[in-house]
Amino acid sequence: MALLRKAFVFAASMGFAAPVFGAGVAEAPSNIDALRLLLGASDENQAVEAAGKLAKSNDPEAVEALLDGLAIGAGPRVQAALIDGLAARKDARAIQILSFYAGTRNVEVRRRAVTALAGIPSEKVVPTLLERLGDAAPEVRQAAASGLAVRREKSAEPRLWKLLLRKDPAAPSALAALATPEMAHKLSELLGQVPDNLIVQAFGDILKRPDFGPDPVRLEIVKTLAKIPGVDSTTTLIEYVAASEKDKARPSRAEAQKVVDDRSGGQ
Amino acid sequence: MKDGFVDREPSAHSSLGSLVLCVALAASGCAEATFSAHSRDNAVEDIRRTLKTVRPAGEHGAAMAYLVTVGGPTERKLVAFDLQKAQVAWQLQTDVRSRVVFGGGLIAHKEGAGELVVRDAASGRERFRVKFAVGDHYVGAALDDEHLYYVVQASGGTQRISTVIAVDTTGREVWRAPAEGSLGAPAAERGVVAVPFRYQNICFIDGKTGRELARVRGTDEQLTFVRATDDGFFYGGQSGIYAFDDKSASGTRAGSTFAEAKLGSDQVRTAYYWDGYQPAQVEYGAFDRNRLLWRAHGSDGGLSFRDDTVVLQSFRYFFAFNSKVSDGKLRWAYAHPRVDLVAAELTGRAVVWASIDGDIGSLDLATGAPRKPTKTGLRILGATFDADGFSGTGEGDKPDLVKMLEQIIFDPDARFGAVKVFAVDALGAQPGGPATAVLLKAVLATRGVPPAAQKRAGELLVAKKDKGSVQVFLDALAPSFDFVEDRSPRGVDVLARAVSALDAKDAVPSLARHLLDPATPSAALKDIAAALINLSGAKAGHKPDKGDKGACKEKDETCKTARRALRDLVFTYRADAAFLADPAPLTVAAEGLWRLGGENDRRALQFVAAEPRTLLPLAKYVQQLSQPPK
Repeated sequence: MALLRKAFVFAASMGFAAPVFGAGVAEAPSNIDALRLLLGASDENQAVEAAGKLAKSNDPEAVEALLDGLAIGAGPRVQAALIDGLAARKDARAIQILSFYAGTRNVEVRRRAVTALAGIPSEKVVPTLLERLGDAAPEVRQAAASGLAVRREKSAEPRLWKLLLRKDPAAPSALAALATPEMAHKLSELLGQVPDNLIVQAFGDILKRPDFGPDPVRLEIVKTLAKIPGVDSTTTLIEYVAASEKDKARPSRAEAQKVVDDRSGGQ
Repeated sequence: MKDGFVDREPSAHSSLGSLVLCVALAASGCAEATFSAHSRDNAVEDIRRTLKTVRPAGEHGAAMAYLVTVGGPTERKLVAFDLQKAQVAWQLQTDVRSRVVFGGGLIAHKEGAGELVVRDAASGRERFRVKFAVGDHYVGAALDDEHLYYVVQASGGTQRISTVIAVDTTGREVWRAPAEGSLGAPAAERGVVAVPFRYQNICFIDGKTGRELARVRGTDEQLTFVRATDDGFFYGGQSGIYAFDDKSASGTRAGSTFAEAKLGSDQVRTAYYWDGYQPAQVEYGAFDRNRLLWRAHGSDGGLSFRDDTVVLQSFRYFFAFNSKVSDGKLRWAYAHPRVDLVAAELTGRAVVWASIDGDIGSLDLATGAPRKPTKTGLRILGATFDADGFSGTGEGDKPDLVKMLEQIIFDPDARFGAVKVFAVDALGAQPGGPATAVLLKAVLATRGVPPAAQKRAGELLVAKKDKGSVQVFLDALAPSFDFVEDRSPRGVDVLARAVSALDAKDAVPSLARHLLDPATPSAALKDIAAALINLSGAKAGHKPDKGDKGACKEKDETCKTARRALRDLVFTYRADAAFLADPAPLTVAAEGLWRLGGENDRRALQFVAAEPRTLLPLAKYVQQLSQPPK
């Protein structure tokens, strides 16, 4: 982290250079410069508003301004706004500083930094996302898992399995996003080792994936769900039946319908 | 009357007898009645006469343990256990309601609410019993080879009256001596009975006549107990023990033959003997499980604990101390598995004990080696040991002190917080890597070690500066928090202080990582920052100048890593209100950065001080740093 260097750039631009560096700001500030100044305003609301405007700006300098704002440090609320601004830009220049903020003490700042990182189309963000799967805060783990799932990051699989074994609710949907038939089979073997609701959630998300198949594997999943008692599994099967309305001949759908009917009749 | 034994009602005090006695006493120079407020005290000649009255010691009988056991809510048994033969000698059902006392081949105990029963020690056969008068409460009893002496206290009226009563071995009352005020439990030794009187005195009374032979009046503390052993009478209170000898006449601690057990810790209670005035200590109870075991004898004009050893019993643990050294050097420790030890006694060569689940065992006094216990299967409520000289049976291995202390510290039983702190203290005094490793284990423990013990372990770990354990500390610092791997570093603050004290520069990368790790507890940040500053290896006396690049040498990556971490902490959290309650991590880091940094770092810090959203305590602190020295 070259925080100090950035800090100086930013500090100088904000006019603090006058007492510190012995020289004032000579020229009239541009729009971006004005927003930079506002990031350092004593009124936090102004700083948050400036960060929002920088996020929407098409000026290439806007990203630099947001990065400098984070580099110089601020309160968590302003940090969060700056990170949101960077998240909207998906700019690879933000990876270094967002990775740093993904490990800061404020949970909300961390969560937003992880979410922002996940949106940047670069492999460089993956190590941080994998690391944050092990965060102490559930919401940060959730953000990391979701990000990895969206990115279909296969390298996350080993840690996601471990996360599931730690009974973390962030794991099922992410695993479902990465799931292969082999993974679905492995998931069914975890019945009894992790809470049923997590297994049901994973299977439900797998069944929702239009790209998952072939149908015999879906049928196995439905049969596994049929073995899990309770409202969660029934709801998942009902949702699957509803989602596959257009393909009534699908054996897995028929099996799901049968299970739902049996359970309804039993009530 | 049966078999020559008598059941006696208490008789009235004979005024004629007293008159005769007083006349006789006047002739011998001590005309006052026993326990008279006007009796002289602290007189050397009285003490010498008393010591001459004590008859020489006889032979000891078999080493015995008298066990009071429970079989149900109301069922109690008295069991005599022969320690040498490791078997029950006799047992009988009786409602024992006091500690058992022994002497002269007899034992005595309170039975039910209002009787004292004397039995033959060898057979348990009842010799006689005495009934307390209505309203009298039993205080305590003692036996010698000729008499039973017992003390009762009358509860009626405005004036507290206590009475010591002597009964011969046939059950005939020989004399009684009433006292205004409190008397404590008596102790007897071959013709003399000693009784604590009004918390300040120990009165020594002729066992045959009831005449007060001498009185010791303590001026420094309350005297709450008196104890008779083959080595003489000992008395005392909270601070230690006094030998009854010529010097007792001083009445002071300094002038008496006095000894105290120095345990080197204030974590454990040092109770020298049962408080003779406490009704709650008449029966077996918690006190029997939590006291000092000692034997003493006069030596070179002073008082020594026998074999220079005192043993502290604390429920399931024993700690043997060298009583000669002022810091109470620990000789050995013993942790009994699972259940409490309800009673223990020092026999001279061994510590004998009885456990609540019926085991009777012993430890070698010199080494703490446990001998194989005997399992009786009894449910033991309390025990009295008449086992002077008993050295235990069988052989055992000397326990490893560090391992024993570790066992105590990590004992899942949550009752013993203070003892565990004490064990940690004792461990801190042990040299070598194994002791350091256990202290570290205590610091890193996630459960089972009380916070106070954990804190103390940390302090000792830092203070030990065990150079041989640097790698152990580095290994402990290496892991980061990871929920996935179920990994949670503990004691990072303690480790930071420890590696700092050892100048272990290799710890800097780990410390830098922990400083910026969100899982590191806030309370640990200050110690980590301070350690980083200390370990940075910065040039001493560095005075930054214009263009200066800081105190870190050009190729000193350790120093630069430390400086970078401090810088990141200050800048990232300078405006974070979470640090408002305790800004110390930021101010310490800022000061470190000021010391280690070059011109650029200092200017950046000046910016931090001037920026309006910087936390005020941090801004002010940096402003102070910026001020030129006056």
